[in-house]
Order: sequence, then C-alpha cells, then structure tokens
Amino acid sequence: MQQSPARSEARYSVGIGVADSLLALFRPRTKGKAWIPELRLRGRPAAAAFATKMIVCVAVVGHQNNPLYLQSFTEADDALKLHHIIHCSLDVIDERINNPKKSGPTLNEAFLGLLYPTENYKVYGYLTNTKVKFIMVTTDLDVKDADVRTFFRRFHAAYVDAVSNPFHVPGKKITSKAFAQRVSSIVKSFGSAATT
Amino acid sequence: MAPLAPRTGDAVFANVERVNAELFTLTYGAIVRQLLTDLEEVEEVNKQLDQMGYNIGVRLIDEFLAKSNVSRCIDFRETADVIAKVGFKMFLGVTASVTNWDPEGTSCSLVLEDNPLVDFVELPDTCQGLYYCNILSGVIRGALEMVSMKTEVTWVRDMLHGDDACELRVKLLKQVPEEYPYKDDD
Repeated sequence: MQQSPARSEARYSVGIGVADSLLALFRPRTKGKAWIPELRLRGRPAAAAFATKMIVCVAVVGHQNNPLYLQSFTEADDALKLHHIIHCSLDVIDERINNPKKSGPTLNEAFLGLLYPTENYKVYGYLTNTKVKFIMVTTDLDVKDADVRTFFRRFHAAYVDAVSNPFHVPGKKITSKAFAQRVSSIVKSFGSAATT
Repeated sequence: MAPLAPRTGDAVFANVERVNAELFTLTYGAIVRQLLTDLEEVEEVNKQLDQMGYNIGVRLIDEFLAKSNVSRCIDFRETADVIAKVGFKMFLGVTASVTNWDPEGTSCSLVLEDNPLVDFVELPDTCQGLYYCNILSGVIRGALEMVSMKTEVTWVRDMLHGDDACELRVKLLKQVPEEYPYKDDD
C-alpha cells in the first residue's frame, strides 16, 4: 500500500466497506479462539463450524453395568453430562435385552442401533456376546447406519486386543494406552468419507 | 551355509506341526501372570522364566537337530545364523537377524522384529523391570549348553519397554569339549 496518499485514502474507504461486510460474516468465537471465516458456510449457525460428524464420547460398560472405559472427545466441560447420558442409556439397553424385538432379522443382535436421541446428541449402542456394552454419543445430525456399524466393529476389535493383554484383569477398568490411542484414531476416522 | 539356512528354515517350518499363534501367546501370558502372582517379585519371576527356558532348551535341542538336519557348525558365527534363521523360524515362526558381532566373534545380537510372545501385551507400571520374554534367553542358553557351548544371554532391547524390536545379546563364554566318562586306553 505504498501509493500516493489520495489514492490510498480512496482505497482505504473502499476497504472499509468491504471489511464491514466481511465482518458481518465473521463471528467471534468464545474462549478467545481465532475467528473462523464463514464465507463458505453462509447461513449456518456458529456451532456447525465444527466438524459435523463428531463423536463426543465413547464408553465401555461391563456386564454388571460397571464402567470399564470412558473417554470424551470434546473440550467442553459437560463431560459429566455425557457420562450421565451414557448412564441413562444403560437403562434403554437393559430394556432392549429383556424385551427383544422379534421383528426384523436377529442375525446381528450385536448392533443395537439408536438408543435414544436427546437434544443435540444421538446415542448408539452395541452389545457383545459377553454382555459388554459399547456406547457412543455423537453430535452428528445425520449419521449413516453403516458408519456407526463400521465404528463399532473397529472398536470391538480394539477392545478384544486390549482384553487379550495378560495384565488386564477382566472386570477392572481398561488402562491400556494403546487402546486409548486406537480408540482416538477410530473416532477421528469416523465418518471420514463425508467430513467437511 | 548361510544361503542355505533361510530356505531350510522355511522348509522345516512347513513340515512341523503348528499351533495357533494366539493360543500360544495367551498361554504364555497366563504363565507369566501366574508366576507374578505366585512369586510377587519381578526379579524372581525373571529368574524363574530363565530357568524354565533352560529346561525347555535342553530338551528342545534334540528335536531341533532331529527335524532340521543341519550339519555341524564350524564356528560360533554359523551357530548364531542357524539359531536365528532355522531355530526361531521352526519354533516361533519368525526369523531373527544376527547383528553386532564383536571383533573376536564370540558375541552377537539376535534381533527379533516381530515377536509372537508379546502380541497384545502391555506391561503395567508395577512390572517395569520384568523381562517378559526371558524364557527365550533360557531356551538359547540351555540348547547351546547341550552342544557344549556355555553362553550368557542378556536382553538389550525389549518391545514392551518401548523399543522397536527385541534384541538378545548372546555371548559365548567357553566351548566345553565333550568329555568321555571312560578313557580310551586300557
């Protein structure tokens, strides 16, 4: 911007006009994070600027409803709320176990499907043959069934490897770091075919 | 000699009876867990694993020599090659590589990139001093003793302690010539 002052002044006034309209689209984030330009996401609310397919929490619950593994993936401090949601979903699973739906194929009884949608979360469940339950909470608005099934299959494989550790005591919490890493990578790649 | 051994290892492996690797891994894990529960001291468990390996090795060497038909080794280098290529392949299904020879040729490193014993295993914080695969060092020591070589086997790298491979240091202490219990003359 090393032109003559008059020209740069005019440019400056034009610049303000453009900047105003741009600023109208920028929205400041809470917690002092950088502004995320929403030029491409016109009309969408701020929350959707996050990855839309996001798993916020996964849990492994033993057959006596004892928690074996709990991991949340958001920085928000409503981790307790997520744990509470998972706890409530255990009731739904118990209902489904006791009153099995006779309709539909009983081949893949492992995948329980959508347990119940709350506010802006969806909770999915998966039951292994040893009555160990996997629960997944996601903020996704339109999640594909196939994606969830794939997720649970990979999660099940990671769980089996963690349990095969001779130093793991069945019934106690899973303390394996390798398991935590694998779960993180599975969560990151969830629905990766359609992430923004 | 060396070029023949890798093929021999695979050929022998194809002919011996095999067992499911996961069964083997889980059984070994159960043994180690039980030893830890019984002995409680990590050092004791290490010693016990070594002793168990020694007992296995003195019996294993006969089977190995019978099944693999290797000829008599000329020197320790050839011995190490045979152990790494034929022995490990035959019994564990993986080949090791021999590296880091010292100038006298009496000490070398056997490196295992892939060790079926440690699949799925993660050492807890209370057992960080445990040499989980110590049975292997006992096996090598016992087997070589039966062919008149006194050796000392130590661990250099261990996958469970964060390294990328398992490395055993095998040192030949002395070669004990065969002793006959009776004299040849009169």
